[in-house]
Amino acid sequence: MRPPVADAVLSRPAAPQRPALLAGLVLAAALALFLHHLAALLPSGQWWQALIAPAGTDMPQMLAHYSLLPRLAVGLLAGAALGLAGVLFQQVLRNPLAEPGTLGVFAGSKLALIVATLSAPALLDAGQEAVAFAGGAAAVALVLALSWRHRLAPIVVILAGLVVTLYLESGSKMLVLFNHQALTDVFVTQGGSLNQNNWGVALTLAPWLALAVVASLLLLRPLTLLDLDEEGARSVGVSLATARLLGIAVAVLLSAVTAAAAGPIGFIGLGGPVIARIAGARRLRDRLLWGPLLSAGLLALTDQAVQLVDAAGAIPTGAVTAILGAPILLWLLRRLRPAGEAVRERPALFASRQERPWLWIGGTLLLLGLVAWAALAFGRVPDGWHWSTRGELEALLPWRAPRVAAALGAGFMLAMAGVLLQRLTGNALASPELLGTSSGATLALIVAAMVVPGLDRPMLILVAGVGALLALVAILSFGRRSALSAEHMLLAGMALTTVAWSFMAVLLFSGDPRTAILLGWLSGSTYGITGGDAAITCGLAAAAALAVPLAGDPAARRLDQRGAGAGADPQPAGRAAADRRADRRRHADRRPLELRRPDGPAHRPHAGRAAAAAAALRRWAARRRADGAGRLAGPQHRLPLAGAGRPGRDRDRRQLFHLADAAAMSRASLQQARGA
Amino acid sequence: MMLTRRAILGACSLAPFGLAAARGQDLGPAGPVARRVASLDLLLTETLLTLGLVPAAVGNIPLYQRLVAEPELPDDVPDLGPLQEPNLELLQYLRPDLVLAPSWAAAGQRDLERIAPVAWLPTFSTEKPALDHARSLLAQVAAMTGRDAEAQTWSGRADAALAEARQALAPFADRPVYVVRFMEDGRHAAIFGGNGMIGDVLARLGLTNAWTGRTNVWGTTSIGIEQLAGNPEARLIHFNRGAETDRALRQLAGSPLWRALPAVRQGRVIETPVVYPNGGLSSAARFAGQLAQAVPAHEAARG
Repeated sequence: MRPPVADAVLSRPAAPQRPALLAGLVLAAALALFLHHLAALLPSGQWWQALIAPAGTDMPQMLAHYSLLPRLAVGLLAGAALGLAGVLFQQVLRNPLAEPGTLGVFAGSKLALIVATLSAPALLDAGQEAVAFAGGAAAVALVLALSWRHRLAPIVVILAGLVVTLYLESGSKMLVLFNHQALTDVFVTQGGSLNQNNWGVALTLAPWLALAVVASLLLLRPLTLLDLDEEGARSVGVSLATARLLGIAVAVLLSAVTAAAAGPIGFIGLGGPVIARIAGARRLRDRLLWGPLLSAGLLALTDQAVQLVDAAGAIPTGAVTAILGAPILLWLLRRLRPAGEAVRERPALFASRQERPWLWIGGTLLLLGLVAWAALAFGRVPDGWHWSTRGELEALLPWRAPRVAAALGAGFMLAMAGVLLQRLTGNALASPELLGTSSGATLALIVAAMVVPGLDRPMLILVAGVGALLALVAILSFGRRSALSAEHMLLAGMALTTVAWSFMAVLLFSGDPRTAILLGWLSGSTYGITGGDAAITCGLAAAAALAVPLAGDPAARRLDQRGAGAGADPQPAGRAAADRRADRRRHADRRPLELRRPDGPAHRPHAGRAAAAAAALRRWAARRRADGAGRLAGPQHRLPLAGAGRPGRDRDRRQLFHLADAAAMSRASLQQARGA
Repeated sequence: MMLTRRAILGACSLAPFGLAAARGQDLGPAGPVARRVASLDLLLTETLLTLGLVPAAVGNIPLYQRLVAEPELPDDVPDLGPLQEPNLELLQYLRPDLVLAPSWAAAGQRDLERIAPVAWLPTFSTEKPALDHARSLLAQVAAMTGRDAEAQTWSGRADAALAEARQALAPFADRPVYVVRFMEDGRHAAIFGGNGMIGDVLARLGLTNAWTGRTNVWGTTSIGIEQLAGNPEARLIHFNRGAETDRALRQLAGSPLWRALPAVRQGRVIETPVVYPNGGLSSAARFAGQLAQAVPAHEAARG
């Protein structure tokens, strides 16, 4: 039996007519707004003519026929396509997080366009669509290839999607940072605006959508059987692998075509299906009907509303759907509860130990030293690349040392934050970027830069800190409701990340060169780090390194209280501890940060702390391989993300940690490389 | 030990720490005259070259050549790399005695002051029309580099070019103009207006800008092509950027709405070589000259 990652169980009984009502309302509202725009352009007597055969010299009629109408059509078609792709992904990958955006389609399209614009503009002669399509499809193909060996296990696919998206976005950001002014066209195309001046986009989308609808109907039966367990499905004679593969192929094609034709449009592929599901569409055939219809209505409505508010078209619709969609999604999430078992499973992180941890730590430190030396001494001087020594090095150090030091300090603190978040949430995948903490900081920075430009660095650090804290509190308080369900937190974090990127897209769309400064921050560049900044960073890192072990590992301590009361807890095991335990049980539902006792073997005192330090060091050194990752997921422990996991799949998970760590490390080494 | 190090430092080609002592030095009009000037902004590079001063180093030379092009930048000027993240090690090696940088980027580039005195100059104005601002910028840079005479000459030359262009365009002032740069996707354009350089030049040439919508502080914004239907009387002037523009025009040719635009239908689309829309007096004079040449030529060809 393989249950879905989070079978979104409804908190209220199903109501079959509700999705229809909702979809009808949204579509009617979109249509009403459209008619409002049409009426502003043309007297109603000419509507029919404008619709069928506009007079070529009558500008209002031409605008109605070639701009207003195709724009509505593209809104509906792109929305429906994204919704259909969303439903298919969600069904096939058995994961409500899956949608084109989370599987890397948009990130792939964008990077492909940027690379083509910069290095092979001839590729764009056939139109940007071909390049964007290739990029989007390649990104999903990469995601699927990474998870192929694990037979596209839901959890593997979604994490590979997140990692690939983060990776591609980092690549885009880096290229944009160095070529900001050369990429204005790409920003505008990639802003996600839906304005039209002919029927081309609509006519591109329509046949693909029709094809996908037919394919989905043909696949309806086998895909429905995916709800059964594997053995059951096989017993009715369906090749599960074939059905899933076909379903994925349809969804990939559909989302890549949409991303190429209409640009990135956030949350529509997720929003429609989720709302349909919450409104009561549970069976696949219901979701296949109402999910795309709701998505179509949502996108068209947003787009029509954008035209109402912003007649000049300076705000791209795709960014608005993301910015509006995120809070709505968060609100809706409160009504979803995850599959029951997933909540109860708490992993004992770091419980299994390396045989000789100090050997690892020592080796890592040595490697770290080598890397730091290379970052300081190896670089390009006017004569070319070479190792600098002595006097030359001394002259270069004032430039290189702060950046390397700041990168080390920042890496250290990120690893620390990761360890703390992982222990606080009981989620082995929790990290500042996946939980949205980094995005909270980013969002705060963007808003601050727009509202009060010219803030100095200490103020910016403060602003970013407040943003991160707010995001963390929001995510945790949100997770509290669902008992820190991993799916919910990741989804909420992803929502914040998308919102931050969308604000960025709006800024880039406006064509203001000052956006370049923001881009520098957002891409994690260590450029412009002064000695003072580096000192602050390293000071904070040192303070964190001291404070965290001194404060003790709350999770470990709490767990220790049960046994002999050993370890960091100064109080002997006795009445006090027993009282606290009872107290804890009473308040268990009100204390979100409480980690429940793992079902695994006895937890060792200090194991957490030693492993935490080891993990911090590992990332700090930006090592290539995540050797210790296995430690995160000992075979006897179960991860919350996977729901009721099977021991046989733990190998898959270890693989994932390699992926996630590799992404984190590539970023860290990037920073160090830039420091050089 | 220190002595040996100093000796090595002196021998090696890189600048010692000593240069950092120049930090914080006030460089007003009364300050010393700078000869080796580095520039980290396209407009400031243009301004230096306008004054006849070859910069000691420039950020992002390919971008300058693509967007600004004139005045021409000599081949042997070293490239400092990205404008927002110039190579400080190289800059230190080149020992400039003044760095010109845009004031809006100051927050992230304070490190420059460790290499040489930095003049943080405003490269746009939210109050003044762009040409007035460019003129005062030219005077400011001229004062720092001891080239007041050149600034005077150029100010006069720009005025003359504008006056001449205004005269040539007087018969065509009957129609308003859109000035745009088409985006590759064939759905969008950057349009110029407000107090930006393009918008300001149009005003000084006695032409009415058909775009009256909002623009950013540089006088530009992104619009959909359909917005160009707003003023049916207008001439449509667009910048040719080469391959990008060819792709855009090919896309547009497939659009019935584009073909139906009054300017397209009645043959009022005029192409002109691209000028840097955030440029200074030199770019402005060039744009004015191009208009004075292209518009009458176009009208003559139409008969």
